[in-house]
Amino acid sequence: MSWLDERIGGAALRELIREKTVPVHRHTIWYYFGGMTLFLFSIQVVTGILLLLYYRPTAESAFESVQFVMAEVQFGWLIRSLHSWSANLMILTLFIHMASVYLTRSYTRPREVTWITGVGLLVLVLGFGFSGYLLPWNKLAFFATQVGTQIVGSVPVAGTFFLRFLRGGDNVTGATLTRFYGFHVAVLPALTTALLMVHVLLVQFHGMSTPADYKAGRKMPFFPNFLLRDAVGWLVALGVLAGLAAIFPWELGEKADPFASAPKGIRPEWFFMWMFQTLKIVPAHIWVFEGERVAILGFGVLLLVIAAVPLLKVENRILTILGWVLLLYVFFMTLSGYIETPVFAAGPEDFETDIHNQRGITCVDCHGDNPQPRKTEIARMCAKCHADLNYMRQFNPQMRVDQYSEYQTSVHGMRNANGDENVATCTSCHSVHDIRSVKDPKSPVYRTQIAATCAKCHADSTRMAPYKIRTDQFAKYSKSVHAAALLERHDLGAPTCNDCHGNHGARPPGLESVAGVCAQCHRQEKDLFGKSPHAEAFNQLGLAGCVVCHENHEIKKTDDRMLSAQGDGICAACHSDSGSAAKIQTMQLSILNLRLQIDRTSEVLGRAERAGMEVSKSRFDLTQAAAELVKARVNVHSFNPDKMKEVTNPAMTVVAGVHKAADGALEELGFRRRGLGYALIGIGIMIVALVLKIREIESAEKKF
Amino acid sequence: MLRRYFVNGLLGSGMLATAAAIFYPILKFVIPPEAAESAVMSVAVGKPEALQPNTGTIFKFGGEPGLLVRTAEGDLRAFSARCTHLNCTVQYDPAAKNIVCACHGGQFDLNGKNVGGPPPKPLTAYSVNVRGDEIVVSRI
Repeated sequence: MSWLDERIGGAALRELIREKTVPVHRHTIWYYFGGMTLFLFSIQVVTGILLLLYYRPTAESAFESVQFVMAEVQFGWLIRSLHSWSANLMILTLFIHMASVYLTRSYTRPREVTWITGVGLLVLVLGFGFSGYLLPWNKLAFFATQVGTQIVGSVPVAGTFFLRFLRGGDNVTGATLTRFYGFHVAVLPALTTALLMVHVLLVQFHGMSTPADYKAGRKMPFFPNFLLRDAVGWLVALGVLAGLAAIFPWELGEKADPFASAPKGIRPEWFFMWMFQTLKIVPAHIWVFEGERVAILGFGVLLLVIAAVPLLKVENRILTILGWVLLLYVFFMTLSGYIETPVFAAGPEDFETDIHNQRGITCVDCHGDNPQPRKTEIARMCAKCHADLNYMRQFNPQMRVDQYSEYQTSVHGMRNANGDENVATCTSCHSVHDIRSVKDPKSPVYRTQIAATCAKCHADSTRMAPYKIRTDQFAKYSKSVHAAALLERHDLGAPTCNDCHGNHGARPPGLESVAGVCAQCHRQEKDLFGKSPHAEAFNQLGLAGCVVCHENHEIKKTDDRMLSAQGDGICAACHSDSGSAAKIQTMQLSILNLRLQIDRTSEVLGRAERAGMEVSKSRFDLTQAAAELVKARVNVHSFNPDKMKEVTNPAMTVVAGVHKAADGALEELGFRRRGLGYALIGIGIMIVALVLKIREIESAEKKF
Repeated sequence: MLRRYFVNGLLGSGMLATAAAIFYPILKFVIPPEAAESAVMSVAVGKPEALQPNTGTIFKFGGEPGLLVRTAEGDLRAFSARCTHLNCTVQYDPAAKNIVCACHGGQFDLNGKNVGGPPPKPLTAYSVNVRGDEIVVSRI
């Protein structure tokens, strides 16, 4: 021991520790926050090094490696959650430490440099937070980094340089991730270690600062009295962290996709929120400067002012008031960010209105010397250009030129050619002088508008009366599954009138072509139906395929209850014999059993997911089983119970496996909670023992 | 004296319990798990002879489903199995010799091109190689 002492100066060190004292007064509590921040920083170092064993810093595998840590590595969930929670708590304790030093004016002479190194450490810790947020490469972090680096890009003069320097290019990509990884695990730790050493050494050198009204004399030895009290605080922090990690594991989210739209609720980490909110309220222009740039410059100036506070010649009372104003501002702006979630959404597209006007076509080009063409002349008038391949090619080489010839074959066109001015012609659907591109959502022939456009005439009973055509098609279509998909969910792949009836050559599909029309999308169903016993029977009875069971315009969302010869079942209309009813029931039960098992398993899996368990593999398998359920429903059209079971039986086996895995995840959750309980008991015993030890030491000191 | 022994004993056992609570998870963490890491850039999807001509199979690629098809002619092709319409899982249809989506009837040819139904764009294609006796699918 003495050999070692001689070489490392152990005796001097012991002497230093023995002599070090901590002043005791009403503000002593604030001394603990510096040590607490240091303790949380050491947790960051340990858990960070452990995470490095598995983490891979590339866009392709970063997310998967964190997922692997959370799902496969023993206690991986704990280490990662500790790292994330401890990072946030560390920033919180750092803010408290800085605020207490500022408000107790502990930065004054001779501790100016200690304060400046502290401000430097704050910047580095925020750098850790910013760079670490991106490392799991999930959607939320990806877009938050995009916004964050964009803000840095607004720094006057050097903004573009900083933006490219941080991103490793013009956009947030895998290069940004690699960079942030480098900053997070090498650059920032090196700088922090150096600055932290200076900071701690200066604290030792100058001793603890005391308030102006402190009466010299009351103090306690640093070792063991203060250090043991520190240890109690650290153990409490450890317990809180373990609890947070076990009960609220840090979620992973979805993998970042640079081409996806920004998810709702994207926001920066809480410690950047006040700056983010400030940028939102800053006006677009302040005098002749861009508001955002001024605000960013303001943040920079604020940081410099905070760092230079010990050197400023300003009255103490004013500094204290300014400090409180800043603290309250930061607090309320942070709060406002969580009350009102910022959402980045793309604005609506705004297109030019008339496409002809846009392309330089004037009145005369269409009308010539006919200012008021008759309705029977319009189609021919449009066809002057729209049926001319060479003319249309100059605007769009892919544009069709067969609309007029198709129109002539349609019911509308044929009646129009016979002089009927009531039937639809080009302008009836495309409008007269406000013709827009078909891709323009405001165009009356845009996919979501077509049904309403057709209904202008086809829902008008007076107009349809001479033709003896029903007028309930639009009302029925509006209640259909197709309309719900197209008009409510804006699924542009869902069919509307012209998908079944044609557009320019519009006419109702004949009896023999109904199945062909539906098969444009439902081909599998048509193939299965064609091979089923129903195909021949329907032919003999003159029934029009699909519409017999599913209707034509009011096509309801299919329901497993439809497959029944009883009650609401649609099979009941034709099948009343017990043999058919049994077959139908077998098919229905295959589907219902699978659905029931999927629902039950999904509920158990959902509970595990909500508790923060990583069960993505089981969710994947369950999704595949759900895809098999869809396949089984399609297979109904074979009307063969054995063919159904070929699909449902293997899917049931998969679902059973997923259920077992979900139960296992819930058991693991129980294990975590029990583990947390044991760990807290251990920590609790330690805290009680430390408190007793402190009392024992202090009562012994009083006796002397 | 007794009190001091008690406090020291309590302190010692508390320290042991806390150390165990800290080091047990760390030791467990550093032991590599049995499961292999999930593949993201390429994945082995089985032996070539296991996939008969004119059949398809779903495999897990990262967190997403992939579809491996052996055509009637014996070629191997792989695509993302996420339908470009509403993300349902697509499947190989041996009767029609193409790829279909059971949800809304989307159809894709064996190059992944959308040829029928509502899907707005082709399936993402992957490259397929046979290395030794294993089929390896990679992102292009």
